[in-house]
Amino acid sequence: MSDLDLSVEPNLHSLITSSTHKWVFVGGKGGVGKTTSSCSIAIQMALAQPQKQFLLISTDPAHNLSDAFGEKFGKDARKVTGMDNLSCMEIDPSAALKDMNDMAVAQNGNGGDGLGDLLQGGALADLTGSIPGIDEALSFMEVMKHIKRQEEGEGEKYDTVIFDTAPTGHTLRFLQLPQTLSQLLDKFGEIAGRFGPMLNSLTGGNQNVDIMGKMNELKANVEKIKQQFTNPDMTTFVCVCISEFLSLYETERLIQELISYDMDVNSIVVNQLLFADSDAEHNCRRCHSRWKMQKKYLDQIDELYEDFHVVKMPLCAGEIRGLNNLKKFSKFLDKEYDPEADNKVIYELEEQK
Amino acid sequence: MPAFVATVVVVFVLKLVQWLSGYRDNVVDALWGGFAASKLKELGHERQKLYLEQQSVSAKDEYARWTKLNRRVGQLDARLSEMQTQLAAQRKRAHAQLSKLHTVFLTVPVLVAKFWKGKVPVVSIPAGMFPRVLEPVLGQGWAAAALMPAKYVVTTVLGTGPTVAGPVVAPGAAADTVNAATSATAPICLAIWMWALTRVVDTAEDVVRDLCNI
Repeated sequence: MSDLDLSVEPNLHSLITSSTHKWVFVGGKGGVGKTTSSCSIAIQMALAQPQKQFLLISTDPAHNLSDAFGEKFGKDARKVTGMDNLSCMEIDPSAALKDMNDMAVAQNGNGGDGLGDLLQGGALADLTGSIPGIDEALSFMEVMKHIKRQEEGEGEKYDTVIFDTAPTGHTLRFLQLPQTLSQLLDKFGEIAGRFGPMLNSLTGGNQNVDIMGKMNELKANVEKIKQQFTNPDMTTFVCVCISEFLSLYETERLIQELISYDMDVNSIVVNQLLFADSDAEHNCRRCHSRWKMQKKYLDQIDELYEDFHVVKMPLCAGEIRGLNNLKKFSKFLDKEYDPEADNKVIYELEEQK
Repeated sequence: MPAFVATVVVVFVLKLVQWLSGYRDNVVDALWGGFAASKLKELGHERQKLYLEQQSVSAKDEYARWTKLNRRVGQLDARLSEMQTQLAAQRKRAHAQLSKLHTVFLTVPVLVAKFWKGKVPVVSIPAGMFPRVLEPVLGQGWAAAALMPAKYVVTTVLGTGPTVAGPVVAPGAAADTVNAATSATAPICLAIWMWALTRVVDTAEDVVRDLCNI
Protein backbone atom coordinates (compact mmCIF):
# COMPACT_ATOMS: atom_id res chain seq x y z
CA MET A 1 0.00 0.00 0.00
CA SER A 2 1.40 3.36 -0.98
CA ASP A 3 1.59 6.26 1.45
CA LEU A 4 -1.11 8.05 -0.49
CA ASP A 5 -3.53 5.12 -0.42
CA LEU A 6 -6.21 6.32 1.94
CA SER A 7 -8.85 3.74 1.07
CA VAL A 8 -10.59 2.11 3.97
CA GLU A 9 -10.90 -1.66 4.09
CA PRO A 10 -14.33 -2.93 3.09
CA ASN A 11 -14.54 -5.32 6.03
CA LEU A 12 -14.76 -5.34 9.83
CA HIS A 13 -11.43 -7.06 10.43
CA SER A 14 -10.11 -4.24 12.60
CA LEU A 15 -13.21 -4.35 14.82
CA ILE A 16 -13.28 -8.15 14.96
CA THR A 17 -9.67 -8.31 16.12
CA SER A 18 -9.92 -5.23 18.34
CA SER A 19 -8.67 -5.69 21.90
CA THR A 20 -10.02 -2.39 23.21
CA HIS A 21 -13.67 -2.35 22.24
CA LYS A 22 -16.03 -3.11 25.13
CA TRP A 23 -19.34 -2.06 23.59
CA VAL A 24 -20.41 -2.73 20.04
CA PHE A 25 -23.85 -1.59 18.91
CA VAL A 26 -25.43 -2.99 15.78
CA GLY A 27 -28.43 -1.11 14.53
CA GLY A 28 -30.45 0.18 11.62
CA LYS A 29 -33.86 0.22 10.05
CA GLY A 30 -36.21 -2.69 10.63
CA GLY A 31 -35.80 -5.77 8.47
CA VAL A 32 -32.31 -5.04 7.08
CA GLY A 33 -30.51 -7.87 8.87
CA LYS A 34 -29.48 -6.38 12.21
CA THR A 35 -29.83 -9.64 14.13
CA THR A 36 -27.95 -11.63 11.51
CA SER A 37 -25.21 -8.98 11.43
CA SER A 38 -24.94 -8.73 15.22
CA CYS A 39 -24.79 -12.52 15.55
CA SER A 40 -22.18 -12.63 12.79
CA ILE A 41 -20.03 -9.94 14.45
CA ALA A 42 -20.29 -11.70 17.81
CA ILE A 43 -19.31 -15.06 16.30
CA GLN A 44 -16.35 -13.65 14.40
CA MET A 45 -15.09 -11.76 17.44
CA ALA A 46 -15.42 -14.90 19.56
CA LEU A 47 -13.59 -16.99 16.96
CA ALA A 48 -10.84 -14.41 16.46
CA GLN A 49 -10.21 -13.94 20.18
CA PRO A 50 -10.86 -17.29 21.89
CA GLN A 51 -9.28 -16.19 25.15
CA LYS A 52 -11.94 -13.52 25.70
CA GLN A 53 -15.58 -13.74 26.68
CA PHE A 54 -18.27 -12.11 24.59
CA LEU A 55 -21.88 -11.36 25.36
CA LEU A 56 -24.56 -10.69 22.78
CA ILE A 57 -27.57 -8.82 24.19
CA SER A 58 -30.77 -8.16 22.33
CA THR A 59 -32.43 -4.89 23.31
CA ASP A 60 -35.15 -5.27 20.72
CA PRO A 61 -38.49 -5.96 22.42
CA ALA A 62 -39.22 -8.28 19.47
CA HIS A 63 -36.26 -10.55 20.21
CA ASN A 64 -34.78 -12.70 17.46
CA LEU A 65 -31.59 -14.09 18.94
CA SER A 66 -33.21 -17.36 19.90
CA ASP A 67 -34.57 -17.72 16.35
CA ALA A 68 -31.21 -16.79 14.82
CA PHE A 69 -29.27 -19.41 16.77
CA GLY A 70 -32.06 -21.92 16.88
CA GLU A 71 -31.98 -22.24 20.66
CA LYS A 72 -33.76 -20.55 23.51
CA PHE A 73 -32.13 -17.65 25.39
CA GLY A 74 -33.61 -15.78 28.31
CA LYS A 75 -32.93 -12.89 30.62
CA ASP A 76 -29.93 -14.67 32.10
CA ALA A 77 -26.85 -14.97 29.92
CA ARG A 78 -26.30 -18.45 28.54
CA LYS A 79 -23.50 -19.82 26.38
CA VAL A 80 -24.29 -20.55 22.75
CA THR A 81 -24.17 -24.28 22.07
CA GLY A 82 -20.94 -24.97 20.25
CA MET A 83 -19.17 -21.78 21.39
CA ASP A 84 -17.17 -21.61 24.63
CA ASN A 85 -16.76 -17.88 24.76
CA LEU A 86 -19.99 -16.48 23.39
CA SER A 87 -23.14 -16.00 25.49
CA CYS A 88 -26.50 -14.57 24.58
CA MET A 89 -29.16 -12.76 26.53
CA GLU A 90 -32.61 -11.47 25.64
CA ILE A 91 -33.80 -8.76 27.98
CA ASP A 92 -37.43 -9.33 28.83
CA PRO A 93 -39.00 -6.15 30.24
CA SER A 94 -41.99 -7.93 31.79
CA ALA A 95 -39.79 -10.50 33.54
CA ALA A 96 -37.42 -7.82 34.78
CA LEU A 97 -40.33 -5.76 36.09
CA LYS A 98 -41.76 -8.83 37.81
CA ASP A 99 -38.42 -9.34 39.53
CA MET A 100 -38.51 -5.72 40.69
CA ASN A 101 -42.05 -6.18 41.88
CA ASP A 102 -41.10 -9.31 43.86
CA MET A 103 -38.12 -7.51 45.37
CA ALA A 104 -40.37 -4.66 46.46
CA VAL A 105 -42.81 -7.13 48.02
CA ALA A 106 -40.00 -8.89 49.88
CA GLN A 107 -38.60 -5.60 51.19
CA ASN A 108 -41.98 -4.39 52.25
CA GLY A 109 -42.35 -7.47 54.43
CA ASN A 110 -45.65 -9.00 55.51
CA GLY A 111 -47.00 -5.79 56.91
CA GLY A 112 -50.37 -6.48 55.34
CA ASP A 113 -50.72 -2.82 54.51
CA GLY A 114 -52.38 -1.65 51.31
CA LEU A 115 -49.13 -1.12 49.47
CA GLY A 116 -47.90 -4.67 50.11
CA ASP A 117 -51.17 -6.16 48.85
CA LEU A 118 -51.01 -4.01 45.78
CA LEU A 119 -47.44 -5.06 44.98
CA GLN A 120 -48.19 -8.72 45.53
CA GLY A 121 -50.78 -8.42 42.84
CA GLY A 122 -48.00 -7.41 40.40
CA ALA A 123 -49.25 -3.85 40.29
CA LEU A 124 -45.76 -2.36 39.90
CA ALA A 125 -45.05 -4.51 36.86
CA ASP A 126 -48.47 -3.70 35.37
CA LEU A 127 -48.07 0.01 35.99
CA THR A 128 -44.60 0.39 34.59
CA GLY A 129 -44.60 -2.28 31.95
CA SER A 130 -46.37 -0.24 29.35
CA ILE A 131 -44.54 3.05 29.83
CA PRO A 132 -43.01 4.09 26.48
CA GLY A 133 -39.27 3.73 26.68
CA ILE A 134 -39.34 1.14 29.44
CA ASP A 135 -37.53 -1.37 27.21
CA GLU A 136 -34.70 1.07 26.63
CA ALA A 137 -34.55 1.90 30.32
CA LEU A 138 -34.32 -1.76 31.30
CA SER A 139 -31.64 -2.44 28.71
CA PHE A 140 -29.71 0.48 30.08
CA MET A 141 -30.07 -0.87 33.60
CA GLU A 142 -28.64 -4.14 32.35
CA VAL A 143 -25.62 -2.27 30.97
CA MET A 144 -25.09 -0.56 34.32
CA LYS A 145 -25.36 -3.91 36.13
CA HIS A 146 -22.63 -5.33 33.93
CA ILE A 147 -20.29 -2.44 34.55
CA LYS A 148 -20.89 -2.73 38.27
CA ARG A 149 -20.35 -6.50 38.28
CA GLN A 150 -17.13 -6.16 36.33
CA GLU A 151 -15.80 -3.59 38.75
CA GLU A 152 -16.76 -5.66 41.75
CA GLY A 153 -15.52 -8.87 40.16
CA GLU A 154 -18.87 -10.56 40.59
CA GLY A 155 -20.38 -13.13 38.27
CA GLU A 156 -19.34 -13.82 34.73
CA LYS A 157 -16.99 -11.25 33.25
CA TYR A 158 -17.40 -10.30 29.62
CA ASP A 159 -14.69 -8.48 27.68
CA THR A 160 -17.00 -7.21 24.98
CA VAL A 161 -20.75 -6.76 24.85
CA ILE A 162 -22.47 -6.66 21.48
CA PHE A 163 -25.93 -5.15 21.31
CA ASP A 164 -28.50 -6.28 18.80
CA THR A 165 -30.58 -3.13 18.97
CA ALA A 166 -34.14 -2.28 18.17
CA PRO A 167 -35.02 -0.33 15.04
CA THR A 168 -33.52 3.14 14.81
CA GLY A 169 -35.88 5.26 16.92
CA HIS A 170 -35.72 3.00 19.95
CA THR A 171 -31.97 2.78 19.76
CA LEU A 172 -31.52 6.53 19.58
CA ARG A 173 -33.70 6.86 22.64
CA PHE A 174 -31.60 4.27 24.42
CA LEU A 175 -28.38 6.10 23.54
CA GLN A 176 -29.84 9.38 24.78
CA LEU A 177 -30.48 7.89 28.20
CA PRO A 178 -27.06 8.65 29.70
CA GLN A 179 -27.39 12.33 28.79
CA THR A 180 -31.06 12.49 29.85
CA LEU A 181 -30.44 10.69 33.13
CA SER A 182 -27.42 12.83 33.85
CA GLN A 183 -29.45 16.03 33.45
CA LEU A 184 -32.34 14.58 35.46
CA LEU A 185 -30.04 13.56 38.28
CA ASP A 186 -28.42 17.02 38.32
CA LYS A 187 -31.85 18.61 38.72
CA PHE A 188 -32.89 16.06 41.31
CA GLY A 189 -29.64 16.68 43.16
CA GLU A 190 -30.46 20.39 43.40
CA ILE A 191 -33.93 19.65 44.78
CA ALA A 192 -32.72 16.91 47.11
CA GLY A 193 -30.05 19.22 48.45
CA ARG A 194 -32.81 21.46 49.74
CA PHE A 195 -35.40 18.88 50.75
CA GLY A 196 -33.20 15.83 51.47
CA PRO A 197 -34.47 14.86 54.93
CA MET A 198 -38.07 15.35 53.83
CA LEU A 199 -37.55 13.10 50.80
CA ASN A 200 -35.99 10.40 52.98
CA SER A 201 -39.00 10.45 55.26
CA LEU A 202 -41.30 10.00 52.25
CA THR A 203 -40.02 6.45 51.72
CA GLY A 204 -41.75 5.61 54.98
CA GLY A 205 -42.21 2.10 56.44
CA ASN A 206 -39.31 0.31 57.94
CA GLN A 207 -36.89 1.13 55.17
CA ASN A 208 -33.93 3.31 55.71
CA VAL A 209 -33.24 4.34 52.18
CA ASP A 210 -30.66 6.99 51.64
CA ILE A 211 -32.04 8.61 48.55
CA MET A 212 -29.16 11.05 48.10
CA GLY A 213 -26.63 8.24 48.36
CA LYS A 214 -28.44 6.12 45.79
CA MET A 215 -28.82 9.09 43.44
CA ASN A 216 -25.12 9.90 43.68
CA GLU A 217 -24.22 6.29 43.00
CA LEU A 218 -26.55 6.20 40.01
CA LYS A 219 -25.13 9.48 38.74
CA ALA A 220 -21.56 8.19 39.01
CA ASN A 221 -22.50 5.05 37.07
CA VAL A 222 -24.27 7.04 34.39
CA GLU A 223 -21.26 9.34 33.98
CA LYS A 224 -19.02 6.30 33.62
CA ILE A 225 -21.24 4.91 30.92
CA LYS A 226 -21.34 8.25 29.11
CA GLN A 227 -17.57 8.36 29.08
CA GLN A 228 -17.28 4.82 27.80
CA PHE A 229 -19.93 5.29 25.12
CA THR A 230 -18.18 8.38 23.74
CA ASN A 231 -14.71 6.78 23.75
CA PRO A 232 -14.05 5.58 20.17
CA ASP A 233 -11.59 2.95 21.39
CA MET A 234 -14.20 1.40 23.66
CA THR A 235 -17.49 1.85 21.84
CA THR A 236 -18.52 1.79 18.21
CA PHE A 237 -21.75 1.62 16.30
CA VAL A 238 -22.14 -0.58 13.23
CA CYS A 239 -24.93 0.58 10.94
CA VAL A 240 -26.76 -2.08 8.97
CA CYS A 241 -28.74 -1.22 5.87
CA ILE A 242 -29.82 -2.45 2.50
CA SER A 243 -29.15 -0.80 -0.80
CA GLU A 244 -32.45 1.02 -1.10
CA PHE A 245 -33.39 4.66 -0.76
CA LEU A 246 -35.43 4.54 2.46
CA SER A 247 -32.85 2.44 4.24
CA LEU A 248 -30.03 4.75 3.17
CA TYR A 249 -31.99 7.79 4.21
CA GLU A 250 -32.55 6.32 7.64
CA THR A 251 -28.92 5.26 7.88
CA GLU A 252 -27.82 8.82 7.16
CA ARG A 253 -30.20 10.11 9.81
CA LEU A 254 -28.88 7.55 12.29
CA ILE A 255 -25.27 8.42 11.55
CA GLN A 256 -25.87 12.16 12.00
CA GLU A 257 -27.65 11.54 15.32
CA LEU A 258 -24.83 9.29 16.52
CA ILE A 259 -22.25 11.92 15.57
CA SER A 260 -24.25 14.46 17.59
CA TYR A 261 -24.02 12.10 20.59
CA ASP A 262 -20.20 11.92 20.05
CA MET A 263 -20.51 8.22 19.41
CA ASP A 264 -17.99 6.58 17.09
CA VAL A 265 -19.52 5.25 13.88
CA ASN A 266 -17.27 4.16 11.05
CA SER A 267 -18.76 0.92 9.73
CA ILE A 268 -21.72 0.21 7.49
CA VAL A 269 -22.89 -3.27 6.56
CA VAL A 270 -24.93 -3.35 3.36
CA ASN A 271 -26.98 -6.53 3.31
CA GLN A 272 -29.05 -8.43 0.81
CA LEU A 273 -26.94 -7.57 -2.25
CA LEU A 274 -27.66 -9.64 -5.32
CA PHE A 275 -24.34 -9.44 -7.22
CA ALA A 276 -26.34 -10.60 -10.23
CA ASP A 277 -23.52 -9.89 -12.71
CA SER A 278 -21.40 -12.63 -11.14
CA ASP A 279 -24.14 -15.14 -10.55
CA ALA A 280 -23.97 -17.72 -13.34
CA GLU A 281 -26.51 -20.04 -11.69
CA HIS A 282 -29.28 -17.54 -11.32
CA ASN A 283 -29.81 -14.96 -14.01
CA CYS A 284 -33.34 -13.66 -13.99
CA ARG A 285 -34.50 -10.34 -15.31
CA ARG A 286 -35.93 -9.33 -11.96
CA CYS A 287 -32.64 -9.93 -10.16
CA HIS A 288 -30.72 -8.00 -12.80
CA SER A 289 -33.13 -5.12 -12.52
CA ARG A 290 -32.89 -5.06 -8.73
CA TRP A 291 -29.12 -5.42 -8.87
CA LYS A 292 -28.95 -2.42 -11.19
CA MET A 293 -30.91 -0.42 -8.64
CA GLN A 294 -28.70 -1.70 -5.80
CA LYS A 295 -25.52 -0.80 -7.71
CA LYS A 296 -26.81 2.73 -8.22
CA TYR A 297 -27.18 3.17 -4.47
CA LEU A 298 -23.92 1.33 -3.74
CA ASP A 299 -22.06 3.90 -5.82
CA GLN A 300 -23.78 6.64 -3.83
CA ILE A 301 -22.80 4.93 -0.56
CA ASP A 302 -19.19 4.66 -1.67
CA GLU A 303 -19.16 8.36 -2.55
CA LEU A 304 -20.93 9.49 0.62
CA TYR A 305 -19.14 7.30 3.14
CA GLU A 306 -15.64 7.11 1.64
CA ASP A 307 -14.02 7.09 5.09
CA PHE A 308 -16.26 4.31 6.45
CA HIS A 309 -15.75 0.56 6.36
CA VAL A 310 -18.51 -0.34 3.92
CA VAL A 311 -19.03 -4.08 4.02
CA LYS A 312 -21.07 -5.58 1.17
CA MET A 313 -22.88 -8.77 2.12
CA PRO A 314 -24.68 -11.05 -0.29
CA LEU A 315 -28.29 -12.13 -0.29
CA CYS A 316 -28.16 -15.87 0.37
CA ALA A 317 -30.27 -18.57 -1.12
CA GLY A 318 -31.63 -19.58 2.27
CA GLU A 319 -32.25 -18.15 5.70
CA ILE A 320 -29.16 -17.64 7.81
CA ARG A 321 -30.18 -19.48 10.94
CA GLY A 322 -28.22 -21.77 13.22
CA LEU A 323 -24.60 -21.53 14.31
CA ASN A 324 -23.13 -23.29 11.25
CA ASN A 325 -24.87 -21.05 8.73
CA LEU A 326 -23.99 -17.96 10.76
CA LYS A 327 -20.33 -19.01 10.86
CA LYS A 328 -20.24 -19.43 7.08
CA PHE A 329 -21.99 -16.14 6.47
CA SER A 330 -20.05 -14.16 9.07
CA LYS A 331 -16.69 -14.92 7.41
CA PHE A 332 -17.50 -12.21 4.88
CA LEU A 333 -17.40 -9.60 7.60
CA ASP A 334 -13.79 -10.42 8.31
CA LYS A 335 -12.70 -10.88 4.70
CA GLU A 336 -14.90 -9.16 2.17
CA TYR A 337 -17.20 -11.21 -0.06
CA ASP A 338 -15.83 -11.91 -3.52
CA PRO A 339 -18.78 -12.43 -5.88
CA GLU A 340 -16.63 -14.55 -8.21
CA ALA A 341 -14.81 -16.75 -5.71
CA ASP A 342 -17.38 -16.99 -2.92
CA ASN A 343 -20.51 -17.34 -5.00
CA LYS A 344 -20.98 -21.03 -4.15
CA VAL A 345 -21.22 -20.31 -0.41
CA ILE A 346 -24.54 -18.54 -0.68
CA TYR A 347 -26.09 -21.74 -2.03
CA GLU A 348 -24.40 -23.94 0.55
CA LEU A 349 -26.29 -22.73 3.59
CA GLU A 350 -27.90 -25.74 5.17
CA GLU A 351 -31.56 -25.72 5.75
CA GLN A 352 -32.18 -25.29 9.45
CA LYS A 353 -34.43 -28.08 10.79
CA MET B 1 -38.88 82.65 19.26
CA PRO B 2 -35.95 80.47 20.34
CA ALA B 3 -38.27 78.76 22.85
CA PHE B 4 -40.85 78.22 20.11
CA VAL B 5 -38.26 76.67 17.77
CA ALA B 6 -36.76 74.60 20.59
CA THR B 7 -40.13 73.17 21.56
CA VAL B 8 -41.01 72.29 17.97
CA VAL B 9 -37.63 70.56 17.58
CA VAL B 10 -38.03 68.65 20.86
CA VAL B 11 -41.56 67.49 20.01
CA PHE B 12 -40.46 66.26 16.58
CA VAL B 13 -37.39 64.55 18.00
CA LEU B 14 -39.60 62.74 20.53
CA LYS B 15 -41.95 61.75 17.74
CA LEU B 16 -39.05 60.52 15.63
CA VAL B 17 -37.78 58.40 18.52
CA GLN B 18 -41.27 56.98 18.94
CA TRP B 19 -41.42 56.13 15.21
CA LEU B 20 -37.99 54.56 15.34
CA SER B 21 -39.12 52.40 18.25
CA GLY B 22 -41.39 50.63 15.79
CA TYR B 23 -38.29 49.61 13.88
CA ARG B 24 -36.26 49.20 16.99
CA ASP B 25 -34.59 45.92 16.09
CA ASN B 26 -33.33 47.31 12.79
CA VAL B 27 -32.05 50.45 14.49
CA VAL B 28 -30.39 48.48 17.25
CA ASP B 29 -28.84 46.07 14.75
CA ALA B 30 -27.53 48.96 12.69
CA LEU B 31 -26.00 50.73 15.69
CA TRP B 32 -24.88 47.86 17.92
CA GLY B 33 -25.06 44.49 16.25
CA GLY B 34 -23.69 45.34 12.83
CA PHE B 35 -21.55 42.26 12.32
CA ALA B 36 -23.91 39.69 13.86
CA ALA B 37 -26.96 40.97 11.99
CA SER B 38 -25.20 41.06 8.62
CA LYS B 39 -23.67 37.63 9.22
CA LEU B 40 -27.11 36.27 10.05
CA LYS B 41 -28.50 37.74 6.85
CA GLU B 42 -25.62 36.27 4.86
CA LEU B 43 -26.16 32.82 6.41
CA GLY B 44 -29.87 33.09 5.70
CA HIS B 45 -29.20 33.80 2.03
CA GLU B 46 -26.72 30.95 1.83
CA ARG B 47 -29.17 28.55 3.42
CA GLN B 48 -31.89 29.60 1.03
CA LYS B 49 -29.56 29.06 -1.93
CA LEU B 50 -28.57 25.60 -0.69
CA TYR B 51 -32.18 24.67 -0.03
CA LEU B 52 -33.20 25.66 -3.55
CA GLU B 53 -30.29 23.70 -4.99
CA GLN B 54 -31.31 20.68 -2.92
CA GLN B 55 -34.89 20.96 -4.12
CA SER B 56 -33.67 20.87 -7.72
CA VAL B 57 -31.81 17.58 -7.13
CA SER B 58 -33.59 14.23 -7.16
CA ALA B 59 -32.79 12.37 -3.94
CA LYS B 60 -33.33 8.99 -5.57
CA ASP B 61 -31.16 9.64 -8.62
CA GLU B 62 -28.37 11.63 -7.00
CA TYR B 63 -28.57 10.48 -3.42
CA ALA B 64 -24.97 11.32 -2.52
CA ARG B 65 -25.17 14.88 -3.84
CA TRP B 66 -28.59 15.40 -2.19
CA THR B 67 -27.31 14.08 1.13
CA LYS B 68 -24.18 16.26 1.04
CA LEU B 69 -26.42 19.28 0.43
CA ASN B 70 -28.68 18.11 3.24
CA ARG B 71 -25.69 17.93 5.60
CA ARG B 72 -24.62 21.46 4.67
CA VAL B 73 -28.17 22.71 5.21
CA GLY B 74 -28.17 21.01 8.61
CA GLN B 75 -24.85 22.62 9.55
CA LEU B 76 -26.10 26.03 8.43
CA ASP B 77 -29.28 25.58 10.46
CA ALA B 78 -27.16 24.92 13.54
CA ARG B 79 -25.03 28.02 12.87
CA LEU B 80 -28.12 30.12 12.20
CA SER B 81 -29.66 29.03 15.45
CA GLU B 82 -26.45 29.94 17.28
CA MET B 83 -26.21 33.35 15.57
CA GLN B 84 -29.86 34.07 16.35
CA THR B 85 -29.27 33.35 20.02
CA GLN B 86 -26.21 35.62 19.99
CA LEU B 87 -28.10 38.38 18.22
CA ALA B 88 -31.04 38.13 20.61
CA ALA B 89 -28.67 38.49 23.57
CA GLN B 90 -26.93 41.43 21.86
CA ARG B 91 -30.26 43.12 21.13
CA LYS B 92 -31.35 42.69 24.73
CA ARG B 93 -28.18 44.42 25.94
CA ALA B 94 -28.56 47.14 23.33
CA HIS B 95 -32.22 47.76 24.22
CA ALA B 96 -31.23 48.19 27.84
CA GLN B 97 -28.56 50.74 26.84
CA LEU B 98 -30.91 52.50 24.43
CA SER B 99 -33.56 52.79 27.12
CA LYS B 100 -31.03 54.32 29.50
CA LEU B 101 -29.90 56.82 26.84
CA HIS B 102 -33.53 57.66 26.07
CA THR B 103 -34.24 58.29 29.72
CA VAL B 104 -31.08 60.32 30.33
CA PHE B 105 -31.10 62.48 27.21
CA LEU B 106 -34.78 62.86 26.41
CA THR B 107 -37.24 61.88 29.08
CA VAL B 108 -35.52 63.48 32.07
CA PRO B 109 -34.62 66.80 30.34
CA VAL B 110 -38.15 67.17 28.95
CA LEU B 111 -39.67 66.46 32.36
CA VAL B 112 -37.30 68.87 34.05
CA ALA B 113 -38.04 71.51 31.41
CA LYS B 114 -41.77 71.04 31.89
CA PHE B 115 -41.57 71.37 35.65
CA TRP B 116 -38.98 74.17 35.72
CA LYS B 117 -39.96 76.29 32.74
CA GLY B 118 -43.46 75.01 32.15
CA LYS B 119 -45.06 78.33 32.80
CA VAL B 120 -42.79 80.35 30.50
CA PRO B 121 -44.91 81.85 27.69
CA VAL B 122 -43.84 80.59 24.28
CA VAL B 123 -46.41 82.03 21.89
CA SER B 124 -49.37 84.37 22.13
CA ILE B 125 -52.78 84.09 20.54
CA PRO B 126 -55.45 86.77 20.23
CA ALA B 127 -57.52 86.99 23.37
CA GLY B 128 -60.95 85.48 22.95
CA MET B 129 -59.84 82.82 20.44
CA PHE B 130 -60.59 80.27 23.10
CA PRO B 131 -63.23 80.63 25.84
CA ARG B 132 -61.99 83.05 28.51
CA VAL B 133 -62.26 80.39 31.15
CA LEU B 134 -59.55 78.42 29.32
CA GLU B 135 -57.08 81.29 29.00
CA PRO B 136 -55.70 80.85 32.51
CA VAL B 137 -55.02 77.24 31.69
CA LEU B 138 -53.32 78.18 28.42
CA GLY B 139 -51.21 80.73 30.20
CA GLN B 140 -50.26 78.83 33.32
CA GLY B 141 -50.69 75.20 32.64
CA TRP B 142 -52.87 72.48 34.06
CA ALA B 143 -52.36 73.74 37.57
CA ALA B 144 -54.70 76.60 36.74
CA ALA B 145 -57.44 74.12 35.89
CA ALA B 146 -56.88 72.38 39.20
CA LEU B 147 -57.10 75.67 41.06
CA MET B 148 -60.31 76.81 39.36
CA PRO B 149 -62.74 75.28 41.88
CA ALA B 150 -60.83 76.91 44.71
CA LYS B 151 -60.92 80.24 42.90
CA TYR B 152 -64.67 79.87 42.36
CA VAL B 153 -65.18 79.34 46.05
CA VAL B 154 -62.93 82.26 46.93
CA THR B 155 -64.44 84.74 44.48
CA THR B 156 -68.07 83.74 44.19
CA VAL B 157 -68.85 82.25 47.56
CA LEU B 158 -66.57 84.34 49.73
CA GLY B 159 -66.70 87.34 47.41
CA THR B 160 -62.98 88.15 47.39
CA GLY B 161 -60.18 88.05 44.77
CA PRO B 162 -60.41 88.17 40.93
CA THR B 163 -63.28 86.60 38.97
CA VAL B 164 -63.30 83.04 37.67
CA ALA B 165 -62.70 84.36 34.19
CA GLY B 166 -59.84 86.43 35.42
CA PRO B 167 -56.34 85.32 35.65
CA VAL B 168 -55.59 82.65 38.24
CA VAL B 169 -52.14 83.37 39.42
CA ALA B 170 -50.21 80.47 40.82
CA PRO B 171 -47.98 81.28 43.75
CA GLY B 172 -44.60 82.48 42.52
CA ALA B 173 -45.84 83.17 38.97
CA ALA B 174 -43.99 85.83 37.00
CA ALA B 175 -45.53 89.33 36.86
CA ASP B 176 -45.75 89.37 33.07
CA THR B 177 -48.07 86.36 33.27
CA VAL B 178 -50.66 88.39 35.17
CA ASN B 179 -50.30 91.43 32.89
CA ALA B 180 -50.54 89.37 29.73
CA ALA B 181 -53.80 87.78 30.92
CA THR B 182 -55.58 91.10 30.81
CA SER B 183 -54.22 92.25 27.44
CA ALA B 184 -55.44 91.68 23.84
CA THR B 185 -53.38 88.51 23.52
CA ALA B 186 -53.41 85.36 25.56
CA PRO B 187 -50.06 83.71 26.21
CA ILE B 188 -49.55 79.98 25.88
CA CYS B 189 -47.09 78.46 28.28
CA LEU B 190 -44.42 75.92 27.38
CA ALA B 191 -46.19 72.93 28.96
CA ILE B 192 -49.49 73.54 27.17
CA TRP B 193 -47.73 74.35 23.91
CA MET B 194 -45.74 71.09 23.96
CA TRP B 195 -48.83 69.11 24.88
CA ALA B 196 -50.86 70.69 22.09
CA LEU B 197 -48.11 70.27 19.49
CA THR B 198 -47.69 66.60 20.42
CA ARG B 199 -51.43 66.04 20.14
CA VAL B 200 -51.55 67.73 16.74
CA VAL B 201 -48.67 65.62 15.40
CA ASP B 202 -50.27 62.42 16.79
CA THR B 203 -53.62 63.28 15.20
CA ALA B 204 -51.99 64.10 11.87
CA GLU B 205 -50.16 60.78 11.99
CA ASP B 206 -53.43 58.91 12.66
CA VAL B 207 -55.16 60.67 9.75
CA VAL B 208 -52.32 59.84 7.37
CA ARG B 209 -52.29 56.19 8.56
CA ASP B 210 -56.06 55.90 8.03
CA LEU B 211 -55.96 57.53 4.61
CA CYS B 212 -53.02 55.44 3.41
CA ASN B 213 -54.18 52.25 5.15
CA ILE B 214 -50.83 51.77 6.86
